[in-house]
Amino acid sequence: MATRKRTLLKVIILGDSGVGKTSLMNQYVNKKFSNQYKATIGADFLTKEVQVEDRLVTMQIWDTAGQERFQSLGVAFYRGADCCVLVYDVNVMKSFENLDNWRNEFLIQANPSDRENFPFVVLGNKVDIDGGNSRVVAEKKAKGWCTSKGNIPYFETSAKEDLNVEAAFQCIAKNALKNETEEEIYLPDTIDVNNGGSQSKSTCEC
Amino acid sequence: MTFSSSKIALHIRKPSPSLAFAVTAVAGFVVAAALGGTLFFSLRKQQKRSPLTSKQWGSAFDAVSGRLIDKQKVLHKVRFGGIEPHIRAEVWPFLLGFYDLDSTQEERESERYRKRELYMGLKMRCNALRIKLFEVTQECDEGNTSTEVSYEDSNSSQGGPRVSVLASQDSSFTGNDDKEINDSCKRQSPEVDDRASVAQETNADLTEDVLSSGSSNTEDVEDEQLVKTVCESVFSGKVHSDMENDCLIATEEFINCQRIIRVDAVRMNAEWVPYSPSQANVTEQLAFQLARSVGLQDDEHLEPCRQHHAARLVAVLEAYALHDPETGYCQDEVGIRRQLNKISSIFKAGDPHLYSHLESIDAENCFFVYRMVVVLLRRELTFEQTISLWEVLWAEKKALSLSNTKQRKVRRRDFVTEDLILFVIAAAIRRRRKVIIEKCRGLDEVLRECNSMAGHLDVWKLLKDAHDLAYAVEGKL
Repeated sequence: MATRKRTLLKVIILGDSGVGKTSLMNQYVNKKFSNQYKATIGADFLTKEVQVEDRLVTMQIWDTAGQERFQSLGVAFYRGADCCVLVYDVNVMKSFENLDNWRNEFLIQANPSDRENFPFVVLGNKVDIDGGNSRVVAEKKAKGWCTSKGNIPYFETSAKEDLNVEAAFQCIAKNALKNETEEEIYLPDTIDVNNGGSQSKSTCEC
Repeated sequence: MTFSSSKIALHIRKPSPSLAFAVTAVAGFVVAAALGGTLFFSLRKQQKRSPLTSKQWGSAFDAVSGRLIDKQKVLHKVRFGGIEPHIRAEVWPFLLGFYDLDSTQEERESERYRKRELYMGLKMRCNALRIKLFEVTQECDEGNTSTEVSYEDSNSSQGGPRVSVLASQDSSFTGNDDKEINDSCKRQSPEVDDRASVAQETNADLTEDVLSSGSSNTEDVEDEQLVKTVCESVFSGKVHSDMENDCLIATEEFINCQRIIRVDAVRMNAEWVPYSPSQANVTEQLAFQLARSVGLQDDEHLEPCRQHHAARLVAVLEAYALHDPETGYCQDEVGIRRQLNKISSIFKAGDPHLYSHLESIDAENCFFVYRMVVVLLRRELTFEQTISLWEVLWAEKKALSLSNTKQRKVRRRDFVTEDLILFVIAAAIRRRRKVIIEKCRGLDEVLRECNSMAGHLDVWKLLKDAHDLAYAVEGKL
């Protein structure tokens, strides 16, 4: 029997507390911004249907708590990730310095089969603040770090102004799809009797 | 089970019911009464019992000694109905162990005095330490900014170390009825109580005042050592002994805690405002001053009352983090996991069907209730419901400490459990058991189900279910 693939891409967003992980996710999925988000506790996720090249996929975006106190919980949520997004605040040096820790922590806990080639994407957020005058991490410095870690794609974003958010997540989806191998869910074909048994166009309605 | 938020709540002062709340309650009563006696009573039976009223509370004390006549009765009342909002400030100190349940009026007064004295002493010691540290670090390295978080406060151009500003804020803690205690504090440190002038005080004035009082010799030696260790570590990179290392780790952890506390405080919303109108009524200048004095940043978008509240929160939470370094502001992971495991075993014993489904989808670790455990259902319940739940939890804990553990079989109504919060969470999940069993095919889907409960829970129904569940699985865990 023929099967049709429905692709679920699991994306994990990591980074220090207050860098804007929830805001980025909400801007991308709901096209909304608020500066009243409460701290994320544990983890939460949103899903979005995205077109990547000619494929329609479901992106499950996991927003995690930036507080160090929740880190060891990761293992339960990192499992089966297809892409990891590392976020820092361009106005806070520490949040950039911690990217290394977040990356290592993720690799240890998620334990992906191909550590060397696991896709990461780095986002330098809050570029809008004070017209860029308060930024302390230069773009060059961030790009340098990304290059040294195996050419990680890098975007400068503003969740507040919706700057580069769409482009960044397109890249995330693309990279996640490249990685996605055995995480596919196989579903039987849906038969549309009215149209003489032609296959339904939609990927999945479950 | 340790968690800071139950203790944090101690600092929510004298909540007074908003007019809107009172009107709603009255309207509810009228509607219920209009439905007719029988129905009215059956409704009451199903939902919650009436809360402890101010009249009941007033007559709960012996007129002569001021001792609680029947503490069990009072606790029972709170456990099953909560407390009328306007007497919470009087009842909570008993539930939270500030006053002994067996204390007389006189004992409570002297206890309050003693604690205030202790508090003042600690605060002065803290001030002295901060100033010393500031002076020494300045000597060591003029203009060094790498130690930003812990020193920036004393470094601020407004002068006046942070703790003294908090002292001025804390004057409201004593309130009018504490005039005597308040005066005694003033005698010790004249400027402490002057709200407006404190922030303007120069470091020199305070140093003199602070150093000349409040600390014993041993404490002085300890403090000297602490200042020395921190400075050496920051500026000379020397190799440290174990003890010094512990001190450094603690300092680093505190700085990290401080950062998280500030981020969280700024994100706090304004739900509390109707409960505390007097606290919400602050000037822009006062809010700004306090915010800067506690090192708050990125708070420009907050209106004065929220900015002020955030600054107070920072002060309270920092103090708590120092008071209990073990927990700090961050509940430890081991403790959380232990609680998740317990919830898992509650399902196993109390709802095997649900448990086996969770097992089949790899979710029996109960990570989906993580948030509920960490902040005691604060995100799922409204502000008012949260307060009710928490005061019930405190009363349950008190009742547990009084209960006779040797007694084998207790009646259902007398049954107390140390894990009430976990049973409440289990009860909340069981309200969605049908959906979870029939629809959820993974941890993510259960998590979504849990997170969507926010705003749809009735705390009194949950408490009833929780008690039933606790009683049913007693001895099976």
